[in-house]
Amino acid sequence: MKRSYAIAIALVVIIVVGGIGVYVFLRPPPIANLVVMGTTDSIETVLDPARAYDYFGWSIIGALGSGLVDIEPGSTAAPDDIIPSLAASWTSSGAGTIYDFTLKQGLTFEDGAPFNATAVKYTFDRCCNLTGDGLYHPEGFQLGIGLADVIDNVTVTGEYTVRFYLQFPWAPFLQTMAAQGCFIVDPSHAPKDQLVNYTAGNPRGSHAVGLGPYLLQSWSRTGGTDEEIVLVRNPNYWDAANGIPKTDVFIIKFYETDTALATAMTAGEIDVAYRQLSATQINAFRANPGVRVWEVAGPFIQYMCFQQRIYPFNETLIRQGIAAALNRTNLVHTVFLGTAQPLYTIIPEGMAYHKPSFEIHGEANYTYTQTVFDLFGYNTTHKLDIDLYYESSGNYPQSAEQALFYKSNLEASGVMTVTLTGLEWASYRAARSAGTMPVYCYGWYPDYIDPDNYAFLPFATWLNMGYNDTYPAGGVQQYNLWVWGRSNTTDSGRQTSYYALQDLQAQECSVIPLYQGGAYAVSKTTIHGIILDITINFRQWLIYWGAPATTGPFLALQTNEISVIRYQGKFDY
Amino acid sequence: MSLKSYVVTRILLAIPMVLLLLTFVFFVIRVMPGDPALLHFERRVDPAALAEFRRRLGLDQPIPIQYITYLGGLFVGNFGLSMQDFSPIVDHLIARFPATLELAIYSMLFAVILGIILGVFSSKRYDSTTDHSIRLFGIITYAIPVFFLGMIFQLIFAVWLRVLPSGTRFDPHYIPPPRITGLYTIDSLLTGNLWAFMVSVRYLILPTITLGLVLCGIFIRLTRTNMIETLRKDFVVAAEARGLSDSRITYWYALRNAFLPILTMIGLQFAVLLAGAVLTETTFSWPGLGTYIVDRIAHRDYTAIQGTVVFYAILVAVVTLIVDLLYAAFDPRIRF
Repeated sequence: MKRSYAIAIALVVIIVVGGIGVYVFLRPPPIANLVVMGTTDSIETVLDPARAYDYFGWSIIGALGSGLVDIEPGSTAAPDDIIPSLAASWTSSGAGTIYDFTLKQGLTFEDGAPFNATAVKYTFDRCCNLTGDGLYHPEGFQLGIGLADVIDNVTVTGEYTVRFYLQFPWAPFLQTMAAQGCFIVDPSHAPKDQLVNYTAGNPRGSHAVGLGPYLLQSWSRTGGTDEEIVLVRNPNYWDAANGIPKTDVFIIKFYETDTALATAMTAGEIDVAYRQLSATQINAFRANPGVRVWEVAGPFIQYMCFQQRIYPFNETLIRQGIAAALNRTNLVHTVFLGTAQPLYTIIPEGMAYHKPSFEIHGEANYTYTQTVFDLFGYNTTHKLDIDLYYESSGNYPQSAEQALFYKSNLEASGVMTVTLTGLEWASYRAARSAGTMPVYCYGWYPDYIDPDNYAFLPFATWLNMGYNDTYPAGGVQQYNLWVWGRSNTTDSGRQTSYYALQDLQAQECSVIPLYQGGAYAVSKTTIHGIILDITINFRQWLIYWGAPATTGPFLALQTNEISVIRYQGKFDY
Repeated sequence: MSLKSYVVTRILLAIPMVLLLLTFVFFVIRVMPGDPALLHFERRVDPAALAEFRRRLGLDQPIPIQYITYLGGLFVGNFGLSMQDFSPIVDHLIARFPATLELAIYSMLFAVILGIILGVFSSKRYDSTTDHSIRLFGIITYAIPVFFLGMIFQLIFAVWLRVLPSGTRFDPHYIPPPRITGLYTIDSLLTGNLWAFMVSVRYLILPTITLGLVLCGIFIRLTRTNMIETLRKDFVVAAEARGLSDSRITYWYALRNAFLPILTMIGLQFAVLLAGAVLTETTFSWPGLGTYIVDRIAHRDYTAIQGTVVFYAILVAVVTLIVDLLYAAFDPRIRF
């Protein structure tokens, strides 16, 4: 028996030692200049600018393709921050209704097809259906912002010159051209009236673009669930002479949970972790000298909405009283552990024309709350019952904790009793559209980086708050200020209109801004070149290995530095 | 009843069970609140696009018609189309299943081998400190939440010791073995890539042990109980009287007799293993069916959820059937 045990133990030892030997000695040499990034995000639909309308899809399109222009990395996305990309230069004429682009010459798509003005026209004819034989996808970016209402037509004026005719002067046109939704497609791979879908085992056939710093070597995806993306250097990239991309191979691994992502980062299995880590994890990484944390104030905001067809939420003073009872400073420290910042207007901090008008109501200003509630007969013995709804299926960060915090805030005033109800996203959105939630919290991630894309939220028709029904005059006044802001071509004019609009919104409180989220990445200390800014473009091609850097927070952008994308247009909100 | 008749009877019994389950899943998905089609459209809903979406998925049909179409499709291996990109769900299942199968096979092997070894060891030292310790170990591993155990292992072996990876299936710095069966350990051996085999094993260790440990508790207890009972039987005493060695009596005679209930338990535990695999795969970012269904739930891809649940149901029915047949092969009394 003892002999059998000895043989068994010897066998196990031989297998283990042999296995370790095989693993150590047969290991192939690793790929040089390779970065592995982990994420819990995924590509929502396709890698086709005519349909992609999600953060991560745009991020990969950004690595595989190029637009006519780009936004200076690390900048504030102001008009002065627009830099050449596929276009060498451009001019504007016709009072801002004509844009002429002169394209870079000698560029080719992956299969050798030339890039020229015809490809540019093809791209916009296709994604905006300008010639009647293209796409204008109902769920795409172009329809989302109404781009076909802006661009009248695109005309080829020479092999390397192209002219855009706009239907009206539209200040943020160049910033829009820098968006991944306007990246140039390869006509030989992107049928004019069909989307390019994911095709297993065929990376080139799985995306519509080209001309970017990277080529798509492989994309493992099952039923909309991504597993791995491998990007390799595009030797024909227009900026290759400047050493772009700085990394030969960029691999993206998809993790199921933020815990798994944080563990992989802590264990050193990945070089970069980006989207999404929890507040607790970010704080833990901040205290970890073995990693770098990159952070910036992001464009995501949340706000509290009121169904103004339901009494007493149609009363401005009641809404003001609720605004006064909130304590946003405590919110960001207790719920978000300092990874968000309080928001006192609908236009986020760090963006031009931001004015914290809601500060007039104070923080936890219960005296004011009690005073105005008393006018409506609500007091410590006759409290206002509030049904506060929140989204419970993870669409927004820490929703339940937020809701509990708001309940605590409001009830601390002594004149309110709050009942919380959580609904999963489908029911939540349905209830929003039906107008059945008296008070609820909603979030906003912008389509484009401009105050214009935030300032309309207090009277957005799709929120169905009844604001325009209840306060037609106030609604018109806000709308006019908004239109004035988006139509005005001067900086001072826009500032005047947006300041006035924010002051009015703070008075009327049809929605109450709550907090502004941050964007974070964590990397090894030897990783350099991560540039987070208000655009939240990740720019994989600028990341590189270097000497160990000093650890600690790295604030890519200081607040109040952000300039704006000028914007003017006619949109159906 | 002959073995052939028994097989036919068992298959016929499995059919209504699967049919009942997939009917239940079909109707539960449809009575859930919220319009799944509307979920795919954000702020603005184009009625034409919504109608087209419903048409492509067959959601514009009355529910009885949807049900009949669905049943008809299942008979020819059609699990429907994903709501996200209209791709066939059966393709997703085929792509994802090998990862789950690989994890399930190794976890079950680990659980059974460890469970039997410790169970036998415990039975031989009945009522000793060793016996009590092993029983306690079995209870703890059975009771401990699988995701918690996985996270503890990740912390110890991946974060602190850095000897094993914290998750996924293969080293991201290298290319996995070419797909033949989809089981990396098998594919790497088939392609003669020993290094890839070792990488696959290395990535399997933590999820396998995590899932296996949770399952092994029940095998420890079952083996121990059956072995104690068997070792007291007359034929064991007779064998001892004939001078047979202790190991031969234990492993050749007693364990063989005690093995039949264990075999049954393997079949029953397979469903538990699949449920545990969902949590284990999520904890270790293992790209199998478990993470697939979790991801589809997050995306409210109702058709994919339905397809995966039905696939799981069929899988459990088939495994149960196989175990029953094996049982019949092992125990002649079952045939009649």
